[in-house]
Amino acid sequence: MLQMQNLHISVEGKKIVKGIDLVVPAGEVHAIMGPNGAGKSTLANVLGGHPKYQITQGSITLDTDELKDLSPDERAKKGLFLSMQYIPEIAGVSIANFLRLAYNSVKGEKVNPLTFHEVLAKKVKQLDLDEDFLKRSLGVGLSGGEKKKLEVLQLLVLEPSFAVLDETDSGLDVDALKVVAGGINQFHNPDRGVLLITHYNRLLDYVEPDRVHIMKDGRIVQSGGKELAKNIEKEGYNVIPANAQIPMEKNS
Amino acid sequence: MDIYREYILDLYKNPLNKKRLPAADVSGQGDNASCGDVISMQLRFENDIVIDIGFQGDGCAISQAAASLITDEVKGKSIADIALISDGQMMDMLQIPISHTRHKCALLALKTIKKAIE
Repeated sequence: MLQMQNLHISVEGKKIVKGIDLVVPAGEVHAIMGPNGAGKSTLANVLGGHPKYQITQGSITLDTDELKDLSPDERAKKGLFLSMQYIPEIAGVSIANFLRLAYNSVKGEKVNPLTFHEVLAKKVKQLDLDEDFLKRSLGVGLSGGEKKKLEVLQLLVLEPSFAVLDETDSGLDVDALKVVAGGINQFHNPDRGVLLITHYNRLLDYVEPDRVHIMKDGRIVQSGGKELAKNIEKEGYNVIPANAQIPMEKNS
Repeated sequence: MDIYREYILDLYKNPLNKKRLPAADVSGQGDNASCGDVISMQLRFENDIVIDIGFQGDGCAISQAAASLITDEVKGKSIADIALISDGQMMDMLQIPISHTRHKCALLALKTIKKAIE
């Protein structure tokens, strides 16, 4: 279970997130939607532990662990995964080596590299990629679709308990979108939670959310079922005033 | 570099099961006098099944990587199963081409285990 309580975030003195209360229980998929500049990516980065942002108030807990003061690698070891909207490029580090060392580090055990490679090769094929993909440098020269698939590959290999996916659907054609959605659905099970951050509900046609939250101007202004995403699709974000104070279910 | 060569080098630098078992049921030692590879093995059994194995050794990357791979492979196997592991299977486990002159390096660990369980 990922829980945010009265979370306030600032960057360089500017308030971006202004009090978010959100509970995503294990086994559920929640989506956060919102217009550009609502603070969605800030929220994702803060969950991952980006040092640029300051949490001025509130807390973030994963199961029983307070994450606020942990470094990104410590958060990953607690089971949190963040897929970034723009992935970094590291020339000279192969995807295969990156995934294996990340696996060793997160799980705290050394795996046999050859048996690990067999597992990896199978997962790569599930994502409609060639095995040679694993030899390429991390992020370097990858197409938009390949970058997103790399994120999903990490998800499937590292098997975290909670995944925050920031715009993992952006820039995908419909075939790649189905593959990525298939990967997310394969990852999702009753023990694992997912928080999807997205602009459109295109991905939500393939990954069914239990709850949809609308974020605007640093707050969650509306929460509901997946029909909420459909309304947004039809009417846009402007129908919801930024200062709408929809009571959140405090006891959920 | 070929990805499998990279794995072999990684196993050489970060071996698996490289430890000494204090209370071993059987142990064995092997060496290739001509090239200087040395390996010693200790195994522990429960009802004929390998429950733990450790090796120590020194030598070339192929001989030491092979020791990591074969020790991982025999865990949970019975003595009879281990006896059936062929030289060809050991070569396949390494997943890189082994030239004729290096066959002895690749097979030393398997030979040492087989000697230990005799």
